Amino acid sequence: MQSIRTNGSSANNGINPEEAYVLVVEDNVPNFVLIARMLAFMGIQNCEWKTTGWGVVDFAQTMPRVDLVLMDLRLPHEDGYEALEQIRLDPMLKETRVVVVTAQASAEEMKRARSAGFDGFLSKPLDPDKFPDQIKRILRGEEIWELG
Amino acid sequence: MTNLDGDIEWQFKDICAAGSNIMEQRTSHGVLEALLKFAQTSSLVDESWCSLQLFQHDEIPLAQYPPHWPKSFIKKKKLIAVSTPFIDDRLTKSARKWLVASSFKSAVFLPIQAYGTQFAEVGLFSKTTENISESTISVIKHLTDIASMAIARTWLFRERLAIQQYSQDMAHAISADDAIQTTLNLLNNNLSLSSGNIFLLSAESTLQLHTTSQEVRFFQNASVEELNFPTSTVIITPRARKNPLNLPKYYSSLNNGNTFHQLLLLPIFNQKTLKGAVALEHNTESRSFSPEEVEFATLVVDLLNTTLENLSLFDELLRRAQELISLNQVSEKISSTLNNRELAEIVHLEIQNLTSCRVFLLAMVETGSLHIQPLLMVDGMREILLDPVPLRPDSDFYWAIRELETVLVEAGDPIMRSIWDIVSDSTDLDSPPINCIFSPMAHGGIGYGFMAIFADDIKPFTPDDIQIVRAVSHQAALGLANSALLVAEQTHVSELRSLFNVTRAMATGITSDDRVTGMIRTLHSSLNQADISVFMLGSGGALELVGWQGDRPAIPQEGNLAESLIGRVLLEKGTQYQPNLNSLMPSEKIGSEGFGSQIALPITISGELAGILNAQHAEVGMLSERELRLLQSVSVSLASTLENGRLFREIQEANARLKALDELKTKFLANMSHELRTPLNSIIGFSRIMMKGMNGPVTDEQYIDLESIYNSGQHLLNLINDILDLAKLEAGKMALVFDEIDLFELANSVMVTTRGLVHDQNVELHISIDPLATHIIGDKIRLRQILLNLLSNAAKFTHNGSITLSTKPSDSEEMVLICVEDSGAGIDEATLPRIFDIFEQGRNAVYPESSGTGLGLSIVRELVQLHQGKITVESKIDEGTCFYLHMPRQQEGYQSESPGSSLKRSASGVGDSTPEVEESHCKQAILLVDDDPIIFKLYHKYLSRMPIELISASNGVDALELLNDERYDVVMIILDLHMPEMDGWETLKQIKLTPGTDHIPVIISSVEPDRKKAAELEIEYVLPKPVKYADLQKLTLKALGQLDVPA
Repeated sequence: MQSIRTNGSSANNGINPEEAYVLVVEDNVPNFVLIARMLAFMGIQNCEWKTTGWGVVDFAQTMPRVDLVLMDLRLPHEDGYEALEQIRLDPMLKETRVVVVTAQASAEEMKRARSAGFDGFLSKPLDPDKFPDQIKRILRGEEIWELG
Repeated sequence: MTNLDGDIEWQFKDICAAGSNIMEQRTSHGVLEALLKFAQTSSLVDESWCSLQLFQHDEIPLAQYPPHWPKSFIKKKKLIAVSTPFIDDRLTKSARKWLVASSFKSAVFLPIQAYGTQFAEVGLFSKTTENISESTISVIKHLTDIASMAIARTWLFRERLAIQQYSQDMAHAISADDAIQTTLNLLNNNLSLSSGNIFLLSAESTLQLHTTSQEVRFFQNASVEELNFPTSTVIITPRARKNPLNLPKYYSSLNNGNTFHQLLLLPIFNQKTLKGAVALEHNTESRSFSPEEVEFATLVVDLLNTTLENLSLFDELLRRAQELISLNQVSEKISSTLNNRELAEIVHLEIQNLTSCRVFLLAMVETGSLHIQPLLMVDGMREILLDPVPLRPDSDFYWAIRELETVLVEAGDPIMRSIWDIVSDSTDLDSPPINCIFSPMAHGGIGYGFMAIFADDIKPFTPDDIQIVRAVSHQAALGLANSALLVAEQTHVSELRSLFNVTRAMATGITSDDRVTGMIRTLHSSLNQADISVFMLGSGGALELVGWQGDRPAIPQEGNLAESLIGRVLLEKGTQYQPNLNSLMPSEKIGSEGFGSQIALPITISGELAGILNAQHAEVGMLSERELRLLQSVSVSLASTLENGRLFREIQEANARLKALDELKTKFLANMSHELRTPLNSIIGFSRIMMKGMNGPVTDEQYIDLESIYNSGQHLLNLINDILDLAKLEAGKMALVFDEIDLFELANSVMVTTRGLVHDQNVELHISIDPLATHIIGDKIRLRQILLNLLSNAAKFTHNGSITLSTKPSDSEEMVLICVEDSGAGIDEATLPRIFDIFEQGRNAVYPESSGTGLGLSIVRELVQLHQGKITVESKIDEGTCFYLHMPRQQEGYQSESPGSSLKRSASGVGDSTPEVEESHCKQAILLVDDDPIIFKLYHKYLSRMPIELISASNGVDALELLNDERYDVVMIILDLHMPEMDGWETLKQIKLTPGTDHIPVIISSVEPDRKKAAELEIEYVLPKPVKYADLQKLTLKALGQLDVPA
């Protein structure tokens, strides 16, 4: 099931995948590789990888800008929620969309993520048939909340 | 003197009328007047006259008639006729004079007599003739005879009246004196006595003499025999006076020598006993008692007798009434006192008042200790204190107290001996009395005590005394019973109160320790500040102090158990009750030194000795039976409290363990889901991107292998999802969120998905929504899951034919029937009953390519049941299968609310009040922007079967306003390019630039659509006018499908 909500504020500044800066926070190597492959396939050239929520903001500041963070929830040291908190505290990252990518694919988790302030929710296993489109729409400003 | 012989007939009539008139008169006056009237009117004589001679009647005398006339003319009571010169010695002197002076020539005098007594005389006078004719005389004679009779009759009448009056007087007489005086007056008045006396012998052998002069004299010590009263009526004449036998002795002595002419004596009887006499006297020779007078007197005396008898009965009644009143007062006094001593005093006082009593003993029986407890012993005026006397339950006396009525006990009787045994040492009497009244006080089969009374001096008791004592003792017994009951009740109430307090203390404690502590504290205060200790038997068999209250806790004696009370409880497993510890040897009460009383009870849980409840008090007797009972009750409660506490702790621990287990389970499920999904992400993801050629081209063989990996991955994912759902359902963790579900909307939505599943098959899809079954309350997501599950099953097994989703009203008004029917393979009869079981796949064998998890139908059934619904199935091999969902229209706890609040329900806490959520529950609508009303009608017709509302605007400005209308969630815009105000392209630009509307798919409907321009503005759909229905439907479904199902 999938539902779409409009993020009105970012409606007109859609980002081209080619220009987008994406940070993937994922502690599972194959999963990162899969995401990276799919992002690359859809033309995203600026993709960085972090394996823990700890130090996400510091890392993000090393990037020219961050348009999208694909955040796993279960992470060592600092989990996705803690990392989100840090991101939201940084004014430099206020345009950054933070979307959950998690194997904890439950309505409860989605609810929690929504109230924590995430901008979207994609559940693992990701569907390579839909993923590129989903990312495109997210970059366009859509909110995607999806339970696999 | 005119014609007396003339008109005989008239005269006869005249005389008859006069006679009748005379006879009719009621009074003697009347009689005489009637007689005179006749004499005068009949002109028999010149003058007539009548004189009454009043000697025995109180009637007003007829005054001389005329007044100056002589009182009497004749000396003898005989008819005489006289004439001038009236020289006749039968005439009185004054009469002669008067007759001469009055110049009468002749006169006739006639006496009127009644009862032999001259009553009046009538005189007839003539101035014309010297001889009054014989006929005139005979007429008058006749009439005077009639008058005599009439007067006698009026006299009788008067007598009767007098007697009547007398009876009334008698009836009202309140005392014998009264009655006697009234009688004397009556007799005197009616019989013109010279004197009348009534003698009456009273009960005290005193002779009372009542006289007509209202005098009463008393003569002591007279006896009936001596007095020689007559037994019947006698008349004594002077001659008889000489006969001493006939003249009562008393009479001569009273009469002071006065002589009497005649003495009438009448006896007075009372209850057939001669009690006196009435003596009536005439002392002139002219008067004697006629038989009628005697009869009258007899009648009167009879009445007197009756009256006196009644009065004596009345006196007796009065006496008894007074006795009763007195007894009643006693019983009131007795029943109003609850103090036994006071009661004894009242009883004693009363007994003294009612009978003569020398020794009085009232004692209670103490049934518990079987002692006679004297309450009051009085010897004469002296009160004596008696010690309690043991009462043997097998003794006659014990029996007598319970079973006997009040009795007169003779000397020598065993009861007398028992009583004497009790009082002999204390009384001044040397020997038992002749008799005594023994009055047991029993009530309701319980002997509360007894009363023993010795009479004053030598006079023995009479049956009357027994009656009195019985009545008093009965009251006393009731009093004692009441007070005993009250005492019992008070004890009971105080016990109950203590027990209540203890129980309350136990009940109000939250933990078992609190309760035990509270109980111990309350026991301490309820048991006269006794030291209370509670021990529990530890696992090693040692007593562990659980709690205590008081000066110090009890010491559970170690070593020889038999030497201490607590030890003996352990040894004998029974209560040790010792109200007097002083009676024990020091070696029997080790650990209880310094205490006067002690009770140690076992606390028994499930029949096993689990602990000891010990109470000890410094004073002897402070822990007695009452306390024992209380402790016994408490020890039972205590045992259950301790047991409950233990069980409660166990349950708490078990609960905590279960809760931990439950949490572990939930955590495990979440973890498992996560841990399985993570590798699946790689499996599904990499295989798919390779299949899609993202990593470069793949060969057909590689593609087939990759597809296997991908499909298996998907299958595994479905399995995981289903298992998790099932686990959730079974753990009861699946919470439904109820909302109103539009079945048409839902059916369309799931059919879109189903179409995708059968796109390569020759399968027709049908939706049929009955107008009577369009909505139900349920969990939208779960119902959707149910339908998709059933439809995907149908799609899986139907390769050729149709799948129909339909709704119908059920037999029950509260239910709706939803059917998912296919014309597919069908399920065989053997499998049909098991298809809802886990991992049961009816058609696996036949269709090995089916990729079901085997859990779908189990989940469906659970979800339906969670909705309080029911799922049934019908199937025939090769004909098809139909699943029936019997779903309730309403769900418990769901109330149809305003749209706003129902949204919140379904959102269930996910940003409850965020506008986005509200938005999603606005009415979904398609916005038609066209200035042609015909077009609107057309679209309206086209879209009428869609689960969506059509709203329209005739220009761009209105369109933008509708897009901002909160009531509508515009899911698609159909835009005409040629419009007034703001043209289509301008409108489109505005739509695409406005946040919130920029995502809405727009269909450009135009006669000449500019596809290039449309593409620039990311317009996906262009419909050339005239619009075709099929195109519109397709595009609409696509637009809706994009919103509702994964693309």
